[in-house]
Amino acid sequence: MFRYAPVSNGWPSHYLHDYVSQSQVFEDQLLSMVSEGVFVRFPTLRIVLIESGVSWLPGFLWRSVKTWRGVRSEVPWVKQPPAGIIRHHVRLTVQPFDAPKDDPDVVAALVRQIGADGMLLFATDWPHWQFDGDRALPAGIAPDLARRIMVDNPLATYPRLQEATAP
Amino acid sequence: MSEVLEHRPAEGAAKLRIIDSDIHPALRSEADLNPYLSERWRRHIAEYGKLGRGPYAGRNTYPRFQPFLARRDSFPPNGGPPGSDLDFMREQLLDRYDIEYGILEPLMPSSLVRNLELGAALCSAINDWQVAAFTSREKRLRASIQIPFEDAKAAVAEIERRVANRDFAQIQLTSRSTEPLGRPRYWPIFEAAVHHNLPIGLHIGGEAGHAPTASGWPSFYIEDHHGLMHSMQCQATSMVLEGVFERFPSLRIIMIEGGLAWLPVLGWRLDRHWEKMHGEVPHLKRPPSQYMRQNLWVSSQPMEEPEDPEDLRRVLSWIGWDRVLFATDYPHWDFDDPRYAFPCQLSEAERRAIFHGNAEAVYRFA
Repeated sequence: MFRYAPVSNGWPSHYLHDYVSQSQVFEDQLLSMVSEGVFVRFPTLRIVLIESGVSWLPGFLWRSVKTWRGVRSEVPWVKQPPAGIIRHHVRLTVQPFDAPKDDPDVVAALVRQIGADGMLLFATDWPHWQFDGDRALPAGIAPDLARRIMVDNPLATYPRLQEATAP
Repeated sequence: MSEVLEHRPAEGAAKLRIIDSDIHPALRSEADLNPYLSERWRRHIAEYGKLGRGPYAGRNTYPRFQPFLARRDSFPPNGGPPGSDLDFMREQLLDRYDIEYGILEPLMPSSLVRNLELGAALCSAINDWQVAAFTSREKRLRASIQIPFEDAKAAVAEIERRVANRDFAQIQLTSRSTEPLGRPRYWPIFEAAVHHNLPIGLHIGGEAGHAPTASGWPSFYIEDHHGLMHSMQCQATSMVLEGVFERFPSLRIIMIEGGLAWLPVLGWRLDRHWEKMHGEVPHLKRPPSQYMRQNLWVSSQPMEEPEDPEDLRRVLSWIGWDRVLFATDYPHWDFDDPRYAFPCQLSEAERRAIFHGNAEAVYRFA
């Protein structure tokens, strides 16, 4: 039993609706952590958002900055625009990557809009049925970025992985 | 900031025809509705108030940023709250920016009060008041049919009562409702909209009683303000997945003040997961994004502002240049001035589409 309805309009009929709405919950959680000053109190905290892709992030960042500019006096301890704070503290697994099929230009545009290559981590979601196999990284991500997403960024995010892979 | 800009004449804007799809009229006081309420409901309101679904009586859940949510310079010199004085609205908005048509979007307790009969009476009174106080005196302004949407039968009756009056340009719904709007209990409203060839203006807001997020009640307005966009995304998703647009392919839904950058992304997301889960929604014959492209429009204000203005052009092209309607949100604090609203370059054709062409196509003014 949920304590709260999954959306502010109550209970959607379909699992598909519920699943798709998960990215909105991530937005709510990020706004809560930023607005309550979590990252002010814990400047080295890292948060990894897992299994809702990244395509929603640019629009969310843009809007969060616009709203913060307008009403930041409500949260005076948030001294920087939220986008920079989130880019600094938050990492995301890229699966499932929402974009039109076979449109590498959109993928490339979204990655550029996210504006911080270090935020992106590889994930397969195996063995869940949303498992994407070879599609976990979409066309439009250049090979050097793919390497960062698959190796360098996870190593930088999880210090214990670095220990494990140290020579 | 706005005070500085407002001292300049609107030279550039004068050449451009402008339709504003989001203007908020206000009552001078609650008593303004009394002439349109029966003795029973006047007494009911005096004795019991307008019991809603939010936690507080007579105010929003979250303290809003500004009194009346308004620009500081929008308080009429003759008194009354912002948006309540037609002459001042003319001076500050309609004349100053040479607005050709403006759509009134009243936001006052009505459709979501718990007593459904009272809700119906309030909607009807607000409809009478829009005509008496604004549209009968100012032909540039058009009204929105308020409906008690939680009671579809009464909602349809109110639509039937107003449809002959051409001052009404649309049916108005709120982005927060007690259930997602695609559910069948709301379908008679969509059927009536299609039957009477009226678009539906779905404006953010509404106190529906559910927590604003799936994780409960956030602490601040800065969070709730963002959550309003999620309620809009919920309504778009629900209407698509429940098959509303499959059943009513000519239905026109204008999502007002809900942002826009999320729209193409939500379409891609729905398509991607629909590929795997279409068995759950076998009544959908096409990918979800195709229904969104067919039946949904968005208003511009408050649009997201990408760091690179070219990205705003990219987002608008992903949505479709024929889908975006200009709006000011007058007299609210986050008002968009038509001269400065778009931080990116627009071609003449794009500008005409957004500032008037798309609104004409969807509202079909007479």
